[in-house]
Amino acid sequence: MTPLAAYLLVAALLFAIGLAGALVRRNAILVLIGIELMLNSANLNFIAFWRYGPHPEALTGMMFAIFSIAVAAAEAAVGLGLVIAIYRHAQTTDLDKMNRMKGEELMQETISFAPRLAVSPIAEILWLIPAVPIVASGVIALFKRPRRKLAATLSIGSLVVSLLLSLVAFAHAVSGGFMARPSARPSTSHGFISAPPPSISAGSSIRSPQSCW
Amino acid sequence: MIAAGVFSVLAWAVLRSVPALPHETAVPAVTVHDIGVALVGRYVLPLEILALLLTAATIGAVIVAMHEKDGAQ
Repeated sequence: MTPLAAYLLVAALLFAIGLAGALVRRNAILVLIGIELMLNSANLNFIAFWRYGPHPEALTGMMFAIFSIAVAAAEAAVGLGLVIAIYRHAQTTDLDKMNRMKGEELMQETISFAPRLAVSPIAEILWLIPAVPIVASGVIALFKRPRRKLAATLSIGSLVVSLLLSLVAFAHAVSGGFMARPSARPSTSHGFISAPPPSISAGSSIRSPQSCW
Repeated sequence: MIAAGVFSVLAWAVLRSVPALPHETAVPAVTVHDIGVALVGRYVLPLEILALLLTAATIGAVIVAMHEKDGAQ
């Protein structure tokens, strides 16, 4: 194993650790740390390729790493500023609770969408909407010879099926089919939070912005 | 698990490409003086753009993190 391969393996390990941190952690600051780890693995790759590359006197890899470090610093500054602002607004850094961008009070409970969607049989077939064209494209890609008419029929048919499915789902959503039952809505622990009554559907719940964002 | 998959794919790619990787044994004789000269010479335009970006990011971070209540100031 050459030294460059060892560097690349270490960078890949660093990237994997950062990705795991960014995906698993719920704290916003730790997610930022994971993103920084991934950026640092990219910098390590730059430096390693510059060091073992054919023209180390050109300084390109070094310059790229320096500039990417500076961009990462800017990103970290903005990210930490956002974390401070959100913490001041909501007294939390939990990313699962930061699920509103409209300046409302953040939900105090983690909303699990699975029980809400499972109440409707239409929700069970929602995955068919993207799956049908994907399967059709895969079938078309499997043709040995180009068959224009069959391919066109398959693609147009799959798109029509997906359009019909999405129209059905849209009509279902407009009529309030996806709304949560009152028992499925998570209870909020703070009394001042204006939880919408269950009769208001999700699309029409325009509440006045009540905060200082 | 996704991260483990990503790492395994990356490690597989690296180990497959070991014979094709460049391997220069010569240690580059680059000093900090060379880096500084390159920063104000060939790479001066990215340096200026980066200065602008850092200034904008700092101002943006301060504005975002500042107290938004006017009465508090």
